[in-house]
Amino acid sequence: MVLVTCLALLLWQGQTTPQVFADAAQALQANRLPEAEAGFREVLRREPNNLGALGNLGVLYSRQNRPALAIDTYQRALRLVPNEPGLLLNLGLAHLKLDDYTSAKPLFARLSTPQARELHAICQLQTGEVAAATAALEQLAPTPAVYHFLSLAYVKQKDMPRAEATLAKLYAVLPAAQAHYLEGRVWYDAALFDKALASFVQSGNQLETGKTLISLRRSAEAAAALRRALAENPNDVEAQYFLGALLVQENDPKPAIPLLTNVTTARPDLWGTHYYLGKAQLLLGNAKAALPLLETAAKRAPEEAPVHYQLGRAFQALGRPADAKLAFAKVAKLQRQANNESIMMK
Amino acid sequence: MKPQPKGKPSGLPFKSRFTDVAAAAGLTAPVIYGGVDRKDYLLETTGSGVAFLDYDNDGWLDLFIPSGARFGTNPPEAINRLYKNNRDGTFTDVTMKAGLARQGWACGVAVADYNNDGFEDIFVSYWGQNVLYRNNGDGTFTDVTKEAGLVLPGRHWTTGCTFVDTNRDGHLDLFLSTYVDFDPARIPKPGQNPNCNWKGIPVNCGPRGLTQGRFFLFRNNGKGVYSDVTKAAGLGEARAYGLTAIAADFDEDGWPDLYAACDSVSSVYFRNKRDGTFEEEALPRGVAVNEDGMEQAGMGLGVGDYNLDGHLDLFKTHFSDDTHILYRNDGQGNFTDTTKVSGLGVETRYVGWGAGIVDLDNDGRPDLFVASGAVYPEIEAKLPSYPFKNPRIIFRALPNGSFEELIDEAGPGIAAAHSSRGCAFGDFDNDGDVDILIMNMNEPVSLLRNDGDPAANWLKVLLTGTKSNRSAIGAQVRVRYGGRVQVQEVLSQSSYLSVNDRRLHFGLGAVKTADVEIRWPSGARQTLAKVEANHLLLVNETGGITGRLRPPFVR
Repeated sequence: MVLVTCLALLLWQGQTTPQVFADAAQALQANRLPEAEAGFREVLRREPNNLGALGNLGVLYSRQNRPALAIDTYQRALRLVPNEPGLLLNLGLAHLKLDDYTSAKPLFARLSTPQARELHAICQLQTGEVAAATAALEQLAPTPAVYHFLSLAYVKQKDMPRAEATLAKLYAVLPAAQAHYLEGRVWYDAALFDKALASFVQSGNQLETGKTLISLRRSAEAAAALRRALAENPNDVEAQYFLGALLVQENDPKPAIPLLTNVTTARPDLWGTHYYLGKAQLLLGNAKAALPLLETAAKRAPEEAPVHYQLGRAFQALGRPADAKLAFAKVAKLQRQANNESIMMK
Repeated sequence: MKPQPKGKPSGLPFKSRFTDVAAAAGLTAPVIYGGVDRKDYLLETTGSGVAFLDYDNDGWLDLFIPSGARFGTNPPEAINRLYKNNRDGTFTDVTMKAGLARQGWACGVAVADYNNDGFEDIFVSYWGQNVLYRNNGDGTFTDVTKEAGLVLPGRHWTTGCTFVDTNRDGHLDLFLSTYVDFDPARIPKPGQNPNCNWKGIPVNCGPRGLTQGRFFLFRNNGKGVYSDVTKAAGLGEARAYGLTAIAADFDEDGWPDLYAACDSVSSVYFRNKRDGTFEEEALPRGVAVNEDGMEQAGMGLGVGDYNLDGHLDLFKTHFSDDTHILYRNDGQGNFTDTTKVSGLGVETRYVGWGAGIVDLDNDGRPDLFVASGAVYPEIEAKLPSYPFKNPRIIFRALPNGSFEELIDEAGPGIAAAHSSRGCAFGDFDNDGDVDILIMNMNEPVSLLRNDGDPAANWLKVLLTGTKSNRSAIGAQVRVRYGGRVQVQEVLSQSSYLSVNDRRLHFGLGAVKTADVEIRWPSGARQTLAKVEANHLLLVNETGGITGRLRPPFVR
C-alpha cells in the first residue's frame, strides 16, 4: 500500500482532481483496489467534501471487508447529503456485515425500495420485533430469501406448522442443496442446532456443518468439518477463522496462527481474529507478540470484556502491573455495566 | 467453554465404591426446599449445605442438615436437623432435644468453636435472619445471635458464611456473602422478563436481573460479641451474587484471605493486607473468571492441593453448559486456569454445586468430587436432555497429573440421580477413608459410605488450638510422603455452603510413614517426623501430639 501511494503521488503530480478521480474510479472498476484507494484518498486530500470520492471509498472498503472503515466513510458522506438513498442503503449494508441490526434498521426504514423493505424486515426480525417483521415479510413478493426469513419468523413465534409449510416452498423453487442450506440457516438462527446440523449435512456445506458442530460443543467433529471446508476451498476465510478460533479454544494454538493470520489480511476489521491470535500467542508464552494483537482487538471491540482480560494478562506477563490494573479495571467496569443494564427491579 | 472429547479410559482400577446408606442409617426425613415440580422463585432453587461436626466431642461425626421451606403451606417437617452418630452406622435425630428445630429458608452452615469453650458452635445463614447457635456442652444449643451482635439490619439472603481469624488474635471472626436482593412481591413471574427464561422456556427469574448481594465481615471481640467491620475492612463496596464463602491463606503470608464463589459474575478474592483491611484482587490473581475472561456461575468451592506442590488450589463448580474450573496456585496467591489440561473439559451436562478436592481412594493423589442437580424441574418435560436429577461426578486423579471422569465406575451412590446441592466430606464410620454427605432437594440426604482399598494407607490429623482459635480454623498442615507434599487447611466452610470433617485426611497410597508440618494461625510451627500411617493424630498447639488413634479412634 505504501509503495502504491508513493508511485501514485508521482503520477498525480500535474493531474487535475477530476483526472485523479477518473483514474481511481477506473482502478476500482478493474478491482485494483489499493490503487483506487490511494486515488480517492488523494481526491479527498484536495477536496475533503468530495461526495463521489467518499461514496466510492465506502464501496471499496466494503469490497475489502473493512466494514468499520466503510461505515465511517459513508457517515462522512451522509453528513453532506443526509437523505441520499444509495448511501443510506450502503451504510445499512455495512452495519449488517458487522451483524449490527440495530444500527442498520433505521437506515432501511428511511428507504422505500423492495430491497430496503426486505432488509428492514430482517433487521426487525433480528432485533426482537418478530410480529412486525412477520407482517412485513408476508407483504413482500415471494423470493427464496423472503421464504427463508419468514420461516425463521414463524419459528421464533413457535408457529412450527407455518414454518414447515414455508420451508417446503423453498424446496419447490430451489435445488435441494440450496434449500437444505437455507433451512439449516433457519434452524441455526433459531438456535435449534440439532435440526440445523441435519440440514447442513444434507446440503453438503462443510463450513456451516462445522459452525453448527461448534455450537453443539462437538469440537473434534467441528474441526474435521472445517478442515473439509478448507480442503474444498483453501481460501475460505470464514472456515479459516472458525477453525483457527476453535483450535485456540482447544489449547492448540500453533496450527491456528497461520489460519488466523490469513484472516487478518482478508478481513482486517474483524476484532475476533486479533483476539484469538493474541490469545494463541499468550498460550505459547509469547506475551510480547500477543500485546499488539490484543491492543488492536481492544481498539476494535472496546466493549468486549474478554479482550481486556487477555490484555491484562499480557501486561502481567510483560511485567507491566500498572497497565494490567487498568485493563482489569476496564473488565470490571464492563461487567458492572452489563449487570446494571439487566436489573429488572429498580 | 466447550466440552472436550473424553478420550480412552485409563484402564486403571478405582478401588473405592460408594453406596448410599442414608436410609439404613435412619436419615429418612426429606430436606424440604421449595416446590417439587415447579419453582416460581430463585429462592426455591439454590438449596442448602450440610455439615459434619462432632458436637458432643465423642470422636464420632454427627450431622447438621439445614432446611428450606415452601411457599404457601410450609410442611411442619421442614426444620433444620441435628443427627447424633450412634457409632454403629446409624444416627438419631436429636434436633428437638438440642433446641435446633427452626423453620425458614436456611442456606449455609459454618461450624467452629467461636467462643473457645471446647465445643463446636453452629452458624446458619438464611434468607431472613441468620442464627448463631452456641453449643452449651450438654447436647443443647442456645440461639445467641442477638447478644453476639450478629443481627443484620434489613432482610438479606445470606448464603456463604465462614469463621476465620482475620487478625490472628485467637478469636474467630465471621465472613458472610449474600446472594441477591430478593423480595418475592417485587420479582417478575416466570417468563415476564428475558432473565426469566431458559432455553426459551419460562422459569423463575435471576440471579441476572436482580440486584447483587454484598459481603460482610464481623470481628469477634474475644468475649463472644461481634462488631460489623465490613466498611473499615474494605469489603463494603464489593457487589456480586455471592454463594459459598471460604477463608484460607492462599498467598502463604500467614494471614487468611477470603474468597467467595459468585454466580453469573466474577468471583471475589479479598487479600488480607495484615492491617485489618482487605483488597479485592480476583481479576489480577486469575480467580475471577475463566481463562477466556468469561464470567461463570460459581456455586461451590473445593480447596486442596490437587497437584501436590504444597500450595492450596481451588476447584469451583458451575452451571450446566459450562465446565467446572480448576485453578492452580503458584504459592503466592496467583492462579492459572488448568481446567482443560487437567481433563475436566469433558463434562458440561450438569449444574454443579458441592465440590471437593479430596483423596477418595487413598492413593495419595487428591481427586475431585461434584454434587450436581438441575434448578428447573419444569424443564425436563420439554427438554429431556436436561433432567432435574443427575448423577454425582468423581474426577479421579491419574498418575500423569490429569483427571478421569468416573460415574458408574465408582459405585451406585455416585451413579444415583438426585437434584443435589451441598455436600460434606468426612469419615462418619471412623474406618480411615472419606465418606460423603449430600443434600438432595425435597428428598432425604444421601450418605455415601466409602468402601475402599484396605491396602491403601492414610493419615488423619485433628488439631486443637490454644494460642490460636481452639478449632484451629486456618491452620495449614503439610504432609510429606513418598517424595510428595500435600497441604490442607482447616476450614469452617467449603464445598457448597457446607462443612467438612475438621480432621484433615491425607491418603498415602503405599507409603507407610509421613512427615507432618503444622503451621498454626498464631504462626507457631510444629514438625512431626516419621508419623506412622493409618492413625488419627491428635495434636495440641502447645502440647504436641496428645494421641495416636487407630480406627475406630476410641479415646
